[in-house]
Amino acid sequence: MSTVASRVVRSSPHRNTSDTWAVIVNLLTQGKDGDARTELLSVSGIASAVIAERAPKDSAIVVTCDGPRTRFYCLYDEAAIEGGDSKEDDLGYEPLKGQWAISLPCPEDDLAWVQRALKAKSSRITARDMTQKLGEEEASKAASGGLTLNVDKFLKS
Amino acid sequence: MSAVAVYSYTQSVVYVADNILKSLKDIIRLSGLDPAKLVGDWEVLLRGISTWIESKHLETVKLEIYDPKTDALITRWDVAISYTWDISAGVFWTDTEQLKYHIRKAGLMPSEASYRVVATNSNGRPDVDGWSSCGLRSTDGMVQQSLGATIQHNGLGANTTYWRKL
Repeated sequence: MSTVASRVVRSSPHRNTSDTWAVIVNLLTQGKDGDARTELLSVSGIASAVIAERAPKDSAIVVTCDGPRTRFYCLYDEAAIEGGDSKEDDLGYEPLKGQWAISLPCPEDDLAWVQRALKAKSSRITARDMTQKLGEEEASKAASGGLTLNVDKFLKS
Repeated sequence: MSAVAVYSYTQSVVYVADNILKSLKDIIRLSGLDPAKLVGDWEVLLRGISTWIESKHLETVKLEIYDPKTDALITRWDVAISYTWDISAGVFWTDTEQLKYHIRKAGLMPSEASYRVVATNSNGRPDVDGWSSCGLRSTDGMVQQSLGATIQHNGLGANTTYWRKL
C-alpha cells in the first residue's frame, strides 16, 4: 500500500475559493515557480468553482505522483472560522515528484463541463464524480484497522 | 459546552461573493450554456465583487445573456446587494433550489448565446484590476421577475431578479 498524507485547508468564509486553491497550489509546489505551478494556476477558476460547490468537504482532492499520495479536504463555515481541524503545514516530501496527476471531486451536475474545461487546460488534472472516493475508503479502512480494539487479545493479556 | 462562531463583516463578504459567483455558474449551466468563460475570469470577478462589497459600493451584479450576432439582450439576471449586516444575526444560507426552479422556468438559452458579467457601483468605488467601464444592453420590451433573497450571511445578502421578454 502506498503512503498517504492528508491536508485540511480552511475555505469559505475564512478565505475565498480562489485563495483556498492558491493555498493548495503552494503546498503542492512547495512555493516554487515552474511548469507545475503554471499548470495548477491555469485551472484556478475551475478548481475554485468546485471548491465553491463544497465538493472537497467530504471527498478529497487526490494528488498522485511517484512518491506519496496526498489528499486535500476543505473546511467551511464555523469549522473554517475556528480552524481547529485544519492542517495546512508543509508536506515533508515532494508531492508532485515525477509523473503527477490530480483528481478533483465534482458534483454530478457539474461534471461534464468541468471535465471539458479541465481537458482544455491540462492532461494531468481531471475531475471525477465526488461520490467516487478514489482510494479514500481503503485508506480509511486501513487507518481505522490500526485502531480497532482486539477484544480477544485484550482479554487474554 | 457549546460555542457559536462569530463572523466578521469580511467573512460575510467572502461568503456572499463566492456564492454570487456560484449562483452565476448555476444560471449559466442550467440555461444550457458553458460556464468555462465565467470560471476563466473567476479570480478577477471575485476580486472585484469582494472589493466593492467590502467598500459597500457594489449595487448589482448583472449577468447579461445576449445574441452575439445582433448584440440584443436575450435575458438578464440581476443580483442586488443588501447591506443590512448585523454581527448578532447569526444566519447564513444560499437558496440554490429556488434559484434552480426559476432558471428552469426561464428556459434554455440558444446554444450560440454569449454572456458577460457587469457590476454597477455607487460613486467613488475603488478601481480593481481587470475591470473596465461599459454600458448595459437595453431591456426595452422586457419585464423583471423577482426571486427575493437568494443569499444571506448575517444580513449581508443578495436579492435576485431576472428579465424576460413580454
